[in-house]
Amino acid sequence: MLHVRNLDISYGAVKTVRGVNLHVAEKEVVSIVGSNGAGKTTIINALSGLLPVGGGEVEFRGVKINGLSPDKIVELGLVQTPEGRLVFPEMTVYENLLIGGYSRTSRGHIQKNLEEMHRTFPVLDQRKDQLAGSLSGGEQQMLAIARSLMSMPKLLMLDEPSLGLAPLIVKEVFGIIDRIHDQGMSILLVEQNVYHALSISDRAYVIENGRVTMEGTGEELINNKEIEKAYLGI
Amino acid sequence: MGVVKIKPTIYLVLGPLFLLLPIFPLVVKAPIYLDMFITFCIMAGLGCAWNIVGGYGGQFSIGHGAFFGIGAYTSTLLYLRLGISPWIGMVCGGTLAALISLAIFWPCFRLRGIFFTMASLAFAEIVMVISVYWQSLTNGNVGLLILYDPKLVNFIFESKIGYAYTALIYMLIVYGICIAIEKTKLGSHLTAVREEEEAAESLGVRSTRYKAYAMMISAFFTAAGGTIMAQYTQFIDPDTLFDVALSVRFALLAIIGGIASAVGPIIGSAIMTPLDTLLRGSLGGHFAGLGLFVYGIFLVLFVLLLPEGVLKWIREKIVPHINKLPELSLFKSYAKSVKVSLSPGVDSAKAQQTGDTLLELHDISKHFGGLSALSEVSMKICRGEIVGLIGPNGAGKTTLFNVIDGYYKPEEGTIRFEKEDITRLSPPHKICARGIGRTFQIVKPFKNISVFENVLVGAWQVHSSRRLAHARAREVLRFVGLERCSHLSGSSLTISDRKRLELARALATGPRLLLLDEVMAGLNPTEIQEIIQLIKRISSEMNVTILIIEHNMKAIMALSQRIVVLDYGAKIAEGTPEEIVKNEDVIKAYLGEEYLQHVACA
Amino acid sequence: MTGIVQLILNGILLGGIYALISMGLTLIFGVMKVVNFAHGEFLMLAMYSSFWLQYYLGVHPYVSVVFIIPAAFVVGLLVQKGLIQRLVGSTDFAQIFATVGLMIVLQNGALLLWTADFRAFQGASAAESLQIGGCLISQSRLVILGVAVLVMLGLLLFLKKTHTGRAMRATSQDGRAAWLMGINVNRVYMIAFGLGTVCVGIAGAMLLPVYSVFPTVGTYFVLVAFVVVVLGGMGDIVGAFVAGIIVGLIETVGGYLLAPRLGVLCVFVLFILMLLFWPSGIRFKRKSTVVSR
Repeated sequence: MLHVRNLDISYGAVKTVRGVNLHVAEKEVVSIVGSNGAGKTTIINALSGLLPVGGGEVEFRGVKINGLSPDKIVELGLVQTPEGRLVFPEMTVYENLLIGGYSRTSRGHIQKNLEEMHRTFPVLDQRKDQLAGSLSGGEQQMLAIARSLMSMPKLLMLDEPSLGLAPLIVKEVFGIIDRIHDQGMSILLVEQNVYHALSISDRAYVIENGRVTMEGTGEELINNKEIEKAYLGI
Repeated sequence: MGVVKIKPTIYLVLGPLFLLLPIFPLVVKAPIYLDMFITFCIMAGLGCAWNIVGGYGGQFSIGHGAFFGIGAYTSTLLYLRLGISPWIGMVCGGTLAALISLAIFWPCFRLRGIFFTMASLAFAEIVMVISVYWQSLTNGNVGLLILYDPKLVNFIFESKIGYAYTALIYMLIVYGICIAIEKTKLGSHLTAVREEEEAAESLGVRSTRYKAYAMMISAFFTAAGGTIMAQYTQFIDPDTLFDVALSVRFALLAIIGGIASAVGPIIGSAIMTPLDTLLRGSLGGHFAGLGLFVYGIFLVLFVLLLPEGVLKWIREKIVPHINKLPELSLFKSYAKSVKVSLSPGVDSAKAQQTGDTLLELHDISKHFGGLSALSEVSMKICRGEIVGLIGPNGAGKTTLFNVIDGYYKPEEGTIRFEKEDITRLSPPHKICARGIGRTFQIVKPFKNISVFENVLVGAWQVHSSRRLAHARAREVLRFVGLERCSHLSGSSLTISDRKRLELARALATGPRLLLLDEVMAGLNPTEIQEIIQLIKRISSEMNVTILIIEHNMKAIMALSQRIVVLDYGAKIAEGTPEEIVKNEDVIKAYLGEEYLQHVACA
Repeated sequence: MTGIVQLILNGILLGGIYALISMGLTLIFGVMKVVNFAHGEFLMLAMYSSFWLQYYLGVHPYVSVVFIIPAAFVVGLLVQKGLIQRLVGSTDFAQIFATVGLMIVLQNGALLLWTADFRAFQGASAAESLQIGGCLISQSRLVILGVAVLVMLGLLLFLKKTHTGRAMRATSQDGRAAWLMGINVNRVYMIAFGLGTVCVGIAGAMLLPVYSVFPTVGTYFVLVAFVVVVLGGMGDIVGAFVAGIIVGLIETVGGYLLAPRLGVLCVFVLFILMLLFWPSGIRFKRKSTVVSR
């Protein structure tokens, strides 16, 4: 459903992402892994329309989306849960969800979606009148994911969902991602936490210095010693 | 020894212009043109004075009318009530304005740009309200009239020519001051603070102090301009002196000509004054406000379309053509090329043996709100070492740098550098003065000045003589391999050169300890190899001890003699690279516990 | 005793005026982080519009609001699209001098068109006062206070209950996240600026029975509005209202204690002190009810 061909992204005069090719098929979980500063977040932000695409083509469900504004891309069903969660801290949990659900395509289903989110994330139901800023990190991450799901995406892009969370919570978050996938959602995951990412992924790309250096199934990569090298430099 | 080459721009364009200026009042006798000339000079001078704080300092005041008014009122009142010559009054007014500016704006320097502007506006309003209210002194709204009694000592001239030369001299003095500021430490540091205050502080720049100097100089000359204007028009009243539009005019001249350039406001005035005279002379009688209306439009257009002013446009489009003409070789210069030692810190350091403790952290803790960013971190760095600091995202590495560098104060623990307690030393320029330099994760070049000037900011820390500071900056640039682009602007560099620039700037301050924050992020493998070599040379040739944060494991393994690992704000491991890669806690922190189990099973 | 009550009443009534003028400014800052130095000139334009509507068509200023609201919204949209949009997220330099330039243009445009003459409301109601227990309350100032309360409640309701209002709050808290939620942030900016201009437009019409209009009338009010907005916490609607009242009280009481003309001096001195020691303003209400950062 998502095809990225020869993607170049420049920051100022500097090309930070060079000739990246990747694709995500219906109902797949695909990971982009790599060390800090490799260009993972840059790629995902360009897909969302936050950064201009320097060269190449991005096609989503048959529509060329490079050059579209971010709100249009959300309407088409390509939705990002940003790094650092970025919930609206001074709005209630309920209001955060409402904001998520107001894209043109999902507007008519707000009530139904709300109920579904409360079923998937019972904790959000309990805290629906609390300010989002007062939630714990893990709860904020769940809210961020639920907020994205409210717009009924066709493909959900998660940027570093485990960032800054304690190990136990990380496990929980990955459990949720797995569950959402089981319900039929396609997912593009950007992660530093290699093991978790690879263990729930159908396929994965390894990014180093703005290029794809390896790709394969999650299983293949997790058993590949090269990964360890890329991360630990042995 | 060499020959001074004079560029065609100067001998063809600027030279004649500056030579023509003094002759103008003698040749052109028509009052309207003399009026224009006087206004041109006074306004240009005022624009230059505004530029000192607004352009070089980046503090956008729209309350400079207050200083102008203070100058005008002080000299006039001293003359009218006490019979003191306005020449002396001018100095008194300037001094008063400088003192008031210091009292009011010193604390305001902490404010973000927009708040500073609001404060300046409020300040002008306060001065106006006082001048209107204090009728017994100022005659309130009615204003004050200076009686026509032409004498040199009275600062009143029979012909406009006297005013013309006074105004011209005033303009040239302020212009000269601007040139002097540009060439010295003050200008270099002001610009650095304007571009990136945090980075400037880390290079040892006392930001508040330099802003205050700039403010005082600017206030002094603005007030002096006020005196000249008052003597020229022989009438002052609050409405004309404190009009916001007047303050904006000072700024506008600098913006149109070229902000933060000495000659900019003069060019701005050369464009705007005739236009103003024309508008007022031909149409103004019927259309009050037309002049300022046009001013406003100019301001908006320039800010949006040509924010760097006419000067930049001239430099890019016209100067290259002129410069194709041959250079003039004038006279011989005896400027010696100076050689400076790159590591002046070494002499004193030699006395101490390599290997003794340079930096010692003891139980450092730092919280943000309820979040603990660092908890009880202790470590030692010995002289001459290269120590790696690693850990997953958000582990607290950069926070630790900010604590050492004085940007944050730790809640608990002590930091000792060369055996002295520096825990509470802040802001960062004090830490820099002690001999700790740093680079930033997100590179912060001073964008609108050249690479050379960037490095010069740091070099003043070691040498206060201009010649030596320049020599040091050149030397450092050579060392890091940036000589070839020393004239380029900081923003035009490639990412790898920007990282070198960060290194060069920090090195120029002559540090004994260098904190490097991800200098390799975003570089390709070849560039990384080059930077590794450079860091090794810094360590071995310049005798600088290095603490380096890095995500690129290959690089950190190759560089470090020792590695410290942080996770969730706590130190989880410390040892040689070989020990670290085998450490289970480290593998867990990076790749997850499950990964370890998985590998063990496989 | 009545003297003191009268003084406080006067302060509150003056505060109502300041509150009404400041709410648009704080809304615009809250959403876009742009300080509009030309805010006072929008007030001036609204006052002139109201004046001419009465002069030529005999429309009472209170009624002229009906015409001014849509006109102000359109003007706001156009200024946003033509000028302010380029300033969002740009340097302080551009923000300050572009809006200061606009200020000078509008001021002198008005001077060109309508000369520097003071023009005043033609009618008697300005002088009419209610008498309650020995205290005089100016009717037209009371109306302004009432309108200020209404505008505040209207804005709060809008921000809290409508989708566009919620999108505006979301944008003010995190513009990037708002884009990612499918909010067209540029459109939100336009609506916010339009609304801010409408608020100041209403203020202009309401002010005409109390103050004369002349080209530089905005300069004084915009300064007070800055004080109010900073004191209330930049971007905080309720804060702006309360701060407006506080500033009104300070000016009135200060003027009484020192000299009538020096009341405003107290306000500006307070402003500079506050910028120095208390730059985030007062925060005293439930945060969730306001646009704030």
